[in-house]
Amino acid sequence: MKKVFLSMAAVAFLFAACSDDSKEAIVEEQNIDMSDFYVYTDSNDDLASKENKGKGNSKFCYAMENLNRQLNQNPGLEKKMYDVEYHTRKFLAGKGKPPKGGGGSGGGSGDTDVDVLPIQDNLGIINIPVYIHIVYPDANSISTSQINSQMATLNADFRDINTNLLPSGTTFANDATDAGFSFSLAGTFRHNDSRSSWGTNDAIKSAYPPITPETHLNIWVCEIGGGILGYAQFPGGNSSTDGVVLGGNYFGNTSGAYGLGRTATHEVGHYFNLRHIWGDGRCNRDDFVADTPKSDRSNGGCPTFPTTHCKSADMTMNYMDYTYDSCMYMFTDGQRNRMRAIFAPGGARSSMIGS
Amino acid sequence: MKHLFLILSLVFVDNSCTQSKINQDAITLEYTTQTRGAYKCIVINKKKVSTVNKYGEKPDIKTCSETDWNQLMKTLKTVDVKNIPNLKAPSEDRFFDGAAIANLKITYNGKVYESQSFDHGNPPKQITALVKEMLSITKKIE
Repeated sequence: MKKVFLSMAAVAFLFAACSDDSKEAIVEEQNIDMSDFYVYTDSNDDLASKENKGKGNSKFCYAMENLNRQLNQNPGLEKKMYDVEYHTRKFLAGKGKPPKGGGGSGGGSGDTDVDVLPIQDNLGIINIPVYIHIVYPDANSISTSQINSQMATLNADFRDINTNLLPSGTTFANDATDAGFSFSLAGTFRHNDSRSSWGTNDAIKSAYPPITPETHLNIWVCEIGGGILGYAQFPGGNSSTDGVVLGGNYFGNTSGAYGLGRTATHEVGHYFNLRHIWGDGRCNRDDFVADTPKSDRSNGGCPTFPTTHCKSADMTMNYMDYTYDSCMYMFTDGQRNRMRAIFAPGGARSSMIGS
Repeated sequence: MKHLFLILSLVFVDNSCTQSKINQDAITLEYTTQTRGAYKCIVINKKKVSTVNKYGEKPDIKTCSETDWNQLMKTLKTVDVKNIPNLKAPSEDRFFDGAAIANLKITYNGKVYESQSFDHGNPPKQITALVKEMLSITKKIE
C-alpha cells in the first residue's frame, strides 16, 4: 500500500513538475534555451536529438525523463539542478547576455575568440563566510597557518586576473576575470577521529554535519582516499551535504604539484555552479560558459601552449581544468557571471548574501 | 511464413557468429581512470597485463595467464562491443570530482571501440562484469 501511495505521489509530482515546466517554457520561450542542459548523459542525448529536429520542438518534460530513476536515490535533485540552471540563464539573459550556454567557438572554426563582458549585477564583492571542519586522528596536524594559507589562496584566486602569467600567443587575456568573491574564516572545528579514509559518499558530512550551510561555506578537511584530492556539491543539492571536502595534503600551502591550495579553488568553483572546463564529455558537450574553448578532455600536469583539442587551444590555465596548482591561474568573465548568478535574487545561494 | 523467415534469419545470424573465428591475438582491452591527482591505465592482451600507475610512468608488465584470459574472453563475449561508444553512464559524480573519470577502450583488428567517460566504480551495466574482470586480473597480479 505504501508503495502504491508512493508511486502515486511520484506520478502526481511528475505531472505537477511537468505542467510547471511547460508553463514556464511558454512564457520564456524566446529567451531561455535550455535544450543543451544536462545532468545525466542519457537525457542529454535525447535532448540533443530533439534539438536537431528543430528548435521549436525543444520543449520537453524534463522532470519526466529521469524522475523515476532519480526518485530512488535523490528525490527532486535533477529538477532542482534544472531550476538552478534555468535561473542562471534567465538572470544572465536579463542582463543582456546570450541566453544559450554556448560553446567557446559557437560551432565556428574554433579560432573565433568569444569575449564575454562581466555583467553589472550590483552584488559588489560577495563575501563568503567559511566554516572549516578538520577531521583527523590528530586534528591539530592541520595547523592554523595552513588554514590561513588556504584562506589567502581563495581570496587571491577569486580576485586576481593574473594576465601577466599567460603564455604569449593566447587570446585569453580579455577573458581573465576578477570574479569578485572574498572569503572570511568564521570558525574552525577540530575533531580527532581515527577513521583513515572517508571516501566520497559524504560519510564525513553525516559524522560532522555542516553548520548553517544556507549562509556559510562548509569545508571538511580529511583523508579522502582513492586518488581524490577534493570533491564538491553543486548548488541545488541537499543542504545537509552542502559544501566542499578536501584532502589535508592538498589543503592550503603544502608540498608537491597540488601544494598551493588550488584544489579548494577548483572545488569552490563547482560549489559556485561551474562545470569542468572541458564539459565532461566530447567536443559537443559544453560547460555552459561561452568564453571557454571547447574541449573533449581534461589536461593534467603543466601543459605547453597551445594544447589543442576540438580544433582550438585549450584554456589549460583555467581553475576548472585538471592541471597542476602552479599552472592554473584564471577564471573567465563567463565563469564569473555564471558563479555570481546563483547569488542574485532567487538564486540557489542568494541566502548567503548579507549574512 | 513471416515466422519461418524470422526463425531462418535467427539461425543464419547464429551460424554467422559461431562460424566467424575471433582472432584473440588481435584483441586489446584498456581501462583508464583519472582524477586531478591520480592516473591509472590497465592494458590487457592475450600475452600481457600492463599497468601504469602514474602519469608518464613506465608500465609494469606481467604475463597474462591463460585462465585469466579465457575468463576475460568469456565475459567479453557477453558484451556488444560495437555498442560500447553509445553506452550511457548511470551516474555523474565525476562532474564534481566525487569519482575518478573512467574509460574503457577495446581494440580489435585495429578498430577501436571506446566508451564515453563514466564514474569509476559505477560503469554502465553492460560492461560492469568486464571492467570488474579486468580489475580483478590486475589486482591478482599486483
